[in-house]
Amino acid sequence: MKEELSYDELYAKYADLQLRVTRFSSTEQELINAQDLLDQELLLYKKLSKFNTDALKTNSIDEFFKKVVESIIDIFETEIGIIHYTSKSGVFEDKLVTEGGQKSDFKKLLGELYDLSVQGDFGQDSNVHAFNAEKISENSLIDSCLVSSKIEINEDVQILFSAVISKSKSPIYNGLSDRHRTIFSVFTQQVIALLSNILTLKENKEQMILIEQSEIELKKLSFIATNTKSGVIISDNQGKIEWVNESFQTTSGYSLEEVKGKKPKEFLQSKVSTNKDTLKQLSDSLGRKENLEVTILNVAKNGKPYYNHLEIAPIFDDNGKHTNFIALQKDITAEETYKNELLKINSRFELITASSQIGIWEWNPETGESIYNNILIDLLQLSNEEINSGYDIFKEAIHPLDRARAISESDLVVNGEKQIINHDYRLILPKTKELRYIQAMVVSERDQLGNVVRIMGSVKDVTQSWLFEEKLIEKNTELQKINGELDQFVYSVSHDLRSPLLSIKGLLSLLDISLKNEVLVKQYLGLIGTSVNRLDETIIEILDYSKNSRTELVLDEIDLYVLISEIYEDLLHVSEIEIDFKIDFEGSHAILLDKFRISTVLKNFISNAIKYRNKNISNPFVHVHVHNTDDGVEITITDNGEGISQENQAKVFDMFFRASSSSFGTGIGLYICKEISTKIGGNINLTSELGVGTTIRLLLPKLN
Amino acid sequence: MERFLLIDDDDIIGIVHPAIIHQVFPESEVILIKSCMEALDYFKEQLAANIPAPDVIFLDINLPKMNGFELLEQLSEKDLSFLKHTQIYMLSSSIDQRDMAKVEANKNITGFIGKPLTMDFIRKKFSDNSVQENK
Repeated sequence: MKEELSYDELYAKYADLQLRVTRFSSTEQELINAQDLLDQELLLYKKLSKFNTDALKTNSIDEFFKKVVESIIDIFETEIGIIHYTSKSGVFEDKLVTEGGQKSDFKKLLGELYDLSVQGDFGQDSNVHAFNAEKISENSLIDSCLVSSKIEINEDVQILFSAVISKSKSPIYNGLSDRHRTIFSVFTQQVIALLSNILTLKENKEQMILIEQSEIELKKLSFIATNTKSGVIISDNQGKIEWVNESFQTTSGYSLEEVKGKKPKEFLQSKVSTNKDTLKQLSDSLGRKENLEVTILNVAKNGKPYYNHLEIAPIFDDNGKHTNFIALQKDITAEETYKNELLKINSRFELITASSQIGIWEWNPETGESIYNNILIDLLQLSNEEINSGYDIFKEAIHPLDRARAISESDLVVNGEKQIINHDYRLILPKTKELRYIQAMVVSERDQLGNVVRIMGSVKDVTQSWLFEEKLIEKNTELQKINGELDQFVYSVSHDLRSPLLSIKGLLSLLDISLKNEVLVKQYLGLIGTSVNRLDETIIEILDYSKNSRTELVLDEIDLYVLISEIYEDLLHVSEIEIDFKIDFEGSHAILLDKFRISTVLKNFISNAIKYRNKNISNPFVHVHVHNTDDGVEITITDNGEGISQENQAKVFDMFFRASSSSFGTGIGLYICKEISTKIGGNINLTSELGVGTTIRLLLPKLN
Repeated sequence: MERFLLIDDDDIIGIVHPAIIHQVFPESEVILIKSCMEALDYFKEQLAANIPAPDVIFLDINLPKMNGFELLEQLSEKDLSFLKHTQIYMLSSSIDQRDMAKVEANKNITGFIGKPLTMDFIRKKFSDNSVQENK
């Protein structure tokens, strides 16, 4: 149903409609305005987005700054864009990038901007400061509005960027608004984020380079560790194995799987051979986390021992925390065996030279260096200070009569004329002046070219054997003499023993056919008697001789007067002749003497005096004079007998010498006397003249 | 009849040997000389007096001053020509091999006889014919 409307009603409706249209158009205007605003926002957003996109594409910080400055002008629609970048540490260069305006003015402008940057009026955000031109002084270059912000990116880097608008040249300028602040804040955040991103990227790039470099290093190291012939063990800080290389596995016989997580000492250490001190040193060094180099005896999986030369280094991280041990091990069994063998040979050699007492020296002609072994040093009685001048001392010590010869002989080797010489010389020891007989050898060692590179020699003290040899020669000469004497003795004794026997034999053959002739029988029997006596006499003399040589002195106090008298009585009894016999004494009759020896000597002397009396004179005499003093006794026997020729006087004491054809004796009597006299330390002295007589004197020392 | 020269210093031998020779050759002449020096003098005298040399010499070895071998060495050309028909025997108590060797080596020596001389030896060697044969 349709209702009729009044005017009023219609008017009211129109007015209402009018109002609504007005409202609508204002809404429309508002909508248009909103549309504009949105368009502006969109444009700004697009500009910010473009900056973002462009900035992200930049490759260097310089490009980025250029983009920032361009964007300031673009976004804020200002005349000048400025960015100042500073780095405290100097890692980056300080930079001023600008666009618009006159370049010469920027430095001054920048100073003013810095002054302003500390007095921001948009205090809510500490990073963003915006200023109105009014705040700038009369003389300022800045006569217009601006936006400026000083931002600390991090501790090191700080930037200041500004947008400057000249009021005079920009008629549409409306002064700073909240909108500017917002845009600036957003832009600032964007710059910070992008700059941080660029800086981080740069840092990362550098890190990447470092990492790449260390990766190469690591690759190299691991290549070495894997392929080296030395065994490599990497353990954790407790010494538990993390990794071992191929060489270690070959040497030890254990695979990586077998040893992982174990300590090397748990399976490698030999129970016996390594020195306890070395093991202690090893564990101490590991405990103290020190570098260590040591040789120990290890046992491989197959039970075979090997000498292991170990170098161990602890590894620390950047913070100084101990993280690992790295050990390099080298099997030096061959070297060690060789070394031990050499040491053994050397000690054997030393032992041989020491026990053979051979002095050894070595001289290097090029360096002049010389080495001596202890035996030579001892022989020459060198002190430690003198060892260096050893050769001079040695030369000085050579006997003066041997020196020139010995040195020139050695020089033959030094000059290369001979390769080896053996020679003998004497030394007079420098300290004790003792004489030493030396048997020496000098030998040279030559290189391939034949140059003498080393002279070596041995020196042997043969004094003992030399003296022994000398003594031996002396003894031998003596023995030969004795042997000759013995031969002569046997020859003569056999003659003297056989002669009377053979006479008896002849006499018996005569007796056999003359038994009826009493006169002849008597004569022959008498001659047999004489022969028997002679035989007996000879035997007694030989016994006397032997008794003297084999028995020691027996000293008795004897009455020499009585002894001489008895001897004379016995002799006279045999010879039955008239002789003037006289004994006179100076000093005591009692003398300490060997009775057997003194009586043998005196019996010989007196019997000779009687036997060889001068048969052509009527008053033969034998005078005995005894002079007994505290020093000794002198017995002189003087006769006026046949005498002995000058020629024979020296020979009468020789064994079996018979001076005269009228001699009855064996030729052994005076020889025995001389032997006895020598034995008791006496001396016999004889003076005689043919046809006048003989004086024989026996001098005896006082015997105790 | 032979003439014997005996050179020996032993008094008893000086009695025994002539006696033995005389037992075999009672008519023979036996000259006794006690040393080699005297023997040399004797040769000289005999030569000077133009007396023939003895037929046989018995020369002892072991003599004082100069022994029998030495005497033979001392003989001059004259002595040797004087003694060229004389048999010289070394007559000694020696049993030493060296003496034997010396006898062997000396062409002037006829032979060696060990003491004492025996009548057997004299008889065998010096019967009238044998002296000439042996020389």
